[in-house]
Amino acid sequence: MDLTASMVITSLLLSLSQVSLLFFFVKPEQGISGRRLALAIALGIAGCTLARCVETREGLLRYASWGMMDATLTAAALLCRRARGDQARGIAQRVLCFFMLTECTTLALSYVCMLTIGFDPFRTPAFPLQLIAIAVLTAVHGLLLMLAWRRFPPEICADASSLRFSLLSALPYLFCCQITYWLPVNNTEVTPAVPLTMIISCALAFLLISSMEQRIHAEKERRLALAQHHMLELRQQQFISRRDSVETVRRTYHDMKNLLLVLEKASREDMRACIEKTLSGVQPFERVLETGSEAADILLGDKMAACQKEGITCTVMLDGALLSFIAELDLVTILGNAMDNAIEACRRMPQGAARYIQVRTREMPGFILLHVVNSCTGQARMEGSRFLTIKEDAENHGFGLSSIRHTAESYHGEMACRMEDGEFSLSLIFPRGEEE
Amino acid sequence: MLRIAIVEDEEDLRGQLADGVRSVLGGLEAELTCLGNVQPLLDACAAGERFDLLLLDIQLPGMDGMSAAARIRELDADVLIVFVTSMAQYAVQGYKVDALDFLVKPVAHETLDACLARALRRLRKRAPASLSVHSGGSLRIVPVSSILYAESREHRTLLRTREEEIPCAGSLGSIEESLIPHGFFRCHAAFVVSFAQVERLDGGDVIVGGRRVPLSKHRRKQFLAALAAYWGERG
Repeated sequence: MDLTASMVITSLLLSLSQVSLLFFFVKPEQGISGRRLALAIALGIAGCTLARCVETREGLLRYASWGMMDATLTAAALLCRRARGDQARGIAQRVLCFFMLTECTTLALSYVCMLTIGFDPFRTPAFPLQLIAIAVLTAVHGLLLMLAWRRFPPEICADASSLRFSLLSALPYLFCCQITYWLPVNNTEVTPAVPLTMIISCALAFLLISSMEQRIHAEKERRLALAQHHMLELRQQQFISRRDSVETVRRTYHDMKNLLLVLEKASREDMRACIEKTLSGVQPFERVLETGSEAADILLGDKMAACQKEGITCTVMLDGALLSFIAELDLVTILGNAMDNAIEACRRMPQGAARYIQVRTREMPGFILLHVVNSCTGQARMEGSRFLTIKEDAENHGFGLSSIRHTAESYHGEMACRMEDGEFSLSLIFPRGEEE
Repeated sequence: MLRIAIVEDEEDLRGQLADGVRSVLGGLEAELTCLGNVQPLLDACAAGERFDLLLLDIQLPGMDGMSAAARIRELDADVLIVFVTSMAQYAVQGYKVDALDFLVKPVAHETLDACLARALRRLRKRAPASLSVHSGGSLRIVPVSSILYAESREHRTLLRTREEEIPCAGSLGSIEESLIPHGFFRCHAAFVVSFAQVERLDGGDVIVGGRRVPLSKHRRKQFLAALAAYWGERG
């Protein structure tokens, strides 16, 4: 095989490994069109192959090829994620970080490699030129990074585990792409066997990391589910015991009230006043709410009492019959969690600000809606061009949100949260006819 | 301009409420109608007058506020109704007339403030909007409220309204971009539907203004969540 053909094949294979690693790194979006994905892969491979062919030249061209490779790979990464606005900047930022890291390592490795074979890279006549090239490359990268950082809020990238994995996924990349420096050949002598070995080791590393990531993810999920399950049981148990006690108190109250009313008619003036006082004392045990759903009555009654204590105005406009398709304990999970989050948010409001919670149902021809709205301290946030993206911090709004979502999903419903102008709103939707 | 009606039988309370509303609205231009019972309001609504916001007491001479609200709701599906009353036990019935809020007397200034802020937000979102599209070489103004969905069919972009189908220039993506702030959603690669017109789900389809629009399986979750949020902020 002649040298050029071998070089092109090698470059192709190398690029393939690089592009596949990159896709692992950015995780292509589900539901992306095949045409787009193919375009991204083709762009990545073409760009990298070209860059690799150029890379064998010396001097400035070599560094230009690095920049070209980065640019094409970043473009490919953005193409395979249908990202807009903040998200796109986030990806670009992460990819650039990744290349900064790999390029610095490449350089260090190549110098160490030259030193080990007894060649002093600092004394070569090309060294000043290389230094300038690297300075320019770093400056451009740094500038791009800084721009991305400025315009992109750092909290999404600051997700520690995702950053760790970004760095970790650079390792197989480094290993495979930089191993050539440790082989007793130069770029022009690399035969197809070398990249093949690389691809295999690359695939192994890829499998290792992805299985590790899956494991960690599964473990996290399991722990969360366990904790949630625990919470759920606790809440439901509380509800059951509460319901029993409410039942007893109500029965006693009823008997007592009748007795007192009889006595009131029969007794003297002073006793009458005393009885009247007792009657008004037991008044709170009258049912506070009549929504048509016993679970909602008891639960919301309790939560309203808690609101009163905290000075929160709680308005319940609820048609219990509308929610009758939800099992009692599931309704307790949904309303209990939603109310606890809302009360917690109101508690954090500064003195003097309005504290309110509103619970309402809404009936539409094809859907049933349940809204819980509360005042909160969060600032209004633009949500980019998308009509709705559930924000990370809305997700962390309370531990209970995910169990509300799970419960809603078991009735084919969906949940949405939104924070706007000092108001947090949680909306649940259940399509009709599918609720069973 | 905002049109607000206050119905409250006690004169000094009515004055206080009106002052409260005025101070919260600040510089906003608003026409405040203060009434002692609901009859004039019912007559006005029956005569076709439209209000943006009603503040109703429940205990009123003649017809009570709740029944009046139900009557008005039949006449005007859009008006925002807020009850201002000392009868907290009726609050739970508020859903029947799709009440925006239920304020218990005495109303604190910040409660009224928050309630009116929400009302204004709703009204702002409901403000009529229109979309201008290039159609067959001319510019057409289409009211957004009349659009059922936008569709991309055989490399053409079509705007489906209740009455007609308008072919327009530009990709579905560009139309989507301008429709999304008005509560639209890409429910399928080739369809962008209006949440306001969504009637129900039927299998894998959405029924929009009596027409069937496919809903992609992988977009179903997002669609429902966005729909919930849409009604959450407008309902």
